[in-house]
Amino acid sequence: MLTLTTTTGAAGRTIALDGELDHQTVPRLHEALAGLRLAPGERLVVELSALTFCDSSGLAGFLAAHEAASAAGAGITLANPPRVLMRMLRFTGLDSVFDTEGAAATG
Amino acid sequence: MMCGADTQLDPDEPGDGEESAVGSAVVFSSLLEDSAEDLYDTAPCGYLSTLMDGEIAKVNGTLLGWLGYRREELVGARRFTDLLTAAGRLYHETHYAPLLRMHGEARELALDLVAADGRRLPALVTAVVKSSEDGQPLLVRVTVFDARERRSYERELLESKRKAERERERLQRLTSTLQRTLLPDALPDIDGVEVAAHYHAASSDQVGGDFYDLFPLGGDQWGFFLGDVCGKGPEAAVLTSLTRYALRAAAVHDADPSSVLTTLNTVLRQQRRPGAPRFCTVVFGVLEPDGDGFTVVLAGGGHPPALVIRATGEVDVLETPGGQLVGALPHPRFTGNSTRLDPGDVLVLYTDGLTEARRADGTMLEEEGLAEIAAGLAGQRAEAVVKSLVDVLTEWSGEPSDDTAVLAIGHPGAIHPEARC
Amino acid sequence: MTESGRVDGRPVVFSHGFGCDQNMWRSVVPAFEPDHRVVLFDHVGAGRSDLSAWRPARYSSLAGYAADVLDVLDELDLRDAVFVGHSVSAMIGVLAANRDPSRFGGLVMVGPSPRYVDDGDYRGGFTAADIDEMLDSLDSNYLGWSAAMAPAIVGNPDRPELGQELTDSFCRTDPEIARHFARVTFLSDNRDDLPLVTLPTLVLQCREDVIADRPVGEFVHRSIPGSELVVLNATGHCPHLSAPEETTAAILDFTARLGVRQ
Repeated sequence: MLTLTTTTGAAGRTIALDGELDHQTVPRLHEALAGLRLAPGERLVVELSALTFCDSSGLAGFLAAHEAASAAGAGITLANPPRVLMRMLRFTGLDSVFDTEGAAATG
Repeated sequence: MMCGADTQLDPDEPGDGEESAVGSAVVFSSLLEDSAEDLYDTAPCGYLSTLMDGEIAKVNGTLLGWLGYRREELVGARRFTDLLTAAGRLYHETHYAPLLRMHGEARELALDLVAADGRRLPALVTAVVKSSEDGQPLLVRVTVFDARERRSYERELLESKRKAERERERLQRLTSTLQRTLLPDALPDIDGVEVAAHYHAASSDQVGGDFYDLFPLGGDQWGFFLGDVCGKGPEAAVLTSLTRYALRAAAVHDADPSSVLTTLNTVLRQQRRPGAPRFCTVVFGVLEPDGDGFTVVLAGGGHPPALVIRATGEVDVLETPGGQLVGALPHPRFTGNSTRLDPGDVLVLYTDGLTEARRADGTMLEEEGLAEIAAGLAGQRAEAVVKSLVDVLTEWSGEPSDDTAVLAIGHPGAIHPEARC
Repeated sequence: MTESGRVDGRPVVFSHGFGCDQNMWRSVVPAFEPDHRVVLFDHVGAGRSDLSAWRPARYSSLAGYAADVLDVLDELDLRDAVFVGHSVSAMIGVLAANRDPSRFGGLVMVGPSPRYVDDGDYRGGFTAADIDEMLDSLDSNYLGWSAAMAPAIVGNPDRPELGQELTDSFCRTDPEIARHFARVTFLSDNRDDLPLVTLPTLVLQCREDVIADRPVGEFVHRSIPGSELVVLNATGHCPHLSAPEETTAAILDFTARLGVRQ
């Protein structure tokens, strides 16, 4: 189960992921991002505090989202990634690829 | 003595012989008062009463009609088992009769009744023992339901179940065969080195995504790698196969670990397809004799760090900081590291199935926990190290829920000191 | 495994047949308890046996079940035991006793058949096709086996003497194991094992038995040197259920006449 919620605030648009991001649910992330039509210079916040599970397919989903945003001249920020996700990003060397904010301490 | 004695045995049993008088003159009110006798005789199911030894004491018209017998051919003349097929008699004697004796009833047993002309009537049979007030079993009341349709449906169900079981076995055989082709048959013998490996695929239906290999590079050099591809099943098998061959081929060309990973990255990027991410994490290394030990040079692509368990009891973590996932980025960074294996040292490579194993309290082992366990294994040989690590895993979680691969390369020490240069 | 009776009495081991479990013997056991050490057990797959102990290879012939019997005797260190086997267990007893007679004092075979399938002049009572069909019907009964067998588990309010601890496992059989056991039971041929029996043996035969009829019981009696044949007035295949007094009396009479071996 994955719930996606898009909101627009003063700082721009945010998409919040609630639930599990895996092989089954990752296409929904792609669809949602494609629907947002990021404008050049825009920075989308992907809110991850309610993400309960993410496997390598989920990681692939973030990478694809990053590539698509870069191609559009925009960018994404992973906000409040759970500790396990940060650990994954650190091991896979992708912590330098993504902009993150509010990351839990990685010990 | 048995024949016709049912009224004495059981005054409640409706008598046979009395034909009910449902005729054309029946009025509506009498329809509401359906007679018990007629209901018994023409009920939409078969009724049968037998003595405790199975002798038929009473039978209704419906069952007689189904079987094509006259009443006097059965009552006092045959046993219930005489109406069954040989197979049914076996089942009756081994299941039905003991159940009746022990529990006073047997429900919904699938039996075939045999009609007078030899036709078979698939039936569902339920029987209840009627006892006297002092608990003595007197007779057995049996209802027989026509189960032709149900039986053919059950046969289909059974056939489907068997077919599904066969298919699953076939799939598992196929999967394990495929899995074997993705792993080395046997690790090569290397002079002065002990190697051991463990592989566990979490599912017997799906090819796992972990892989490892150890192979000669020419001269005294040996290449080794261990990694984890993204995904499971057929896609993972394709990717594993591609990765293994790319790594081995790349190493022949240029064995520098970072160059090997860069080549693999190029290969995986060329094979990208939308919706099928092709990347993996991997540690690639080269082993080369050096004096009384070995030099190990390795590079990590987004993979958990290798460990060296020193003979002294220390554990060195061979970090490859910043090394990135292979195949994910157009220009990834790979980080190298190197060390020396002295006598008694063991190099351990593993996938995250090991470090993500959970303790009884739900916490993950993680790299720190693994290093602690590893420190306790100092002085053990490669095979014992692998076994101990796997034991920890199975002790915690029974069958590990994730794919797990462990490769250990140990320097057993100078068994023949004179052989040293 | 269940033990009762006198610890210093002669051991009597009751072994159930295909389709049920040790509770089959409940009407017979009380008569033995005053003077005997009574041992009951479930074959693997039946009653409350440990299902994880089942291995297709070990139980692909009756020898595996016979080895289990010897394990039971060894574990309890029984000597001079009288082994009472019903149906297929009678043959399991023969195999166990032939392998290691040292622990046995006598053999009681209730409704035995060394071979169910007709063979030349030998009449086992069934054709191979009958047996195949029975194995199929087992499948259709086990398909809904929980429905068919579950009522047996709830007990019978009309007969409270059936203790709860008995009723909750009676005839509870693992379907997969039962299918294998049925195959092994009804397709085995143990005729050649009978003449090798060296123990005092009692063959209990019902007057009429559709599974193992009199000619089969007589064949067993003729084949085992020095055996006794008692034809019970009972009918059916389970005299210990349908006529427990008669069955008990015959077994007690036999055990009373057995000398104690050195």
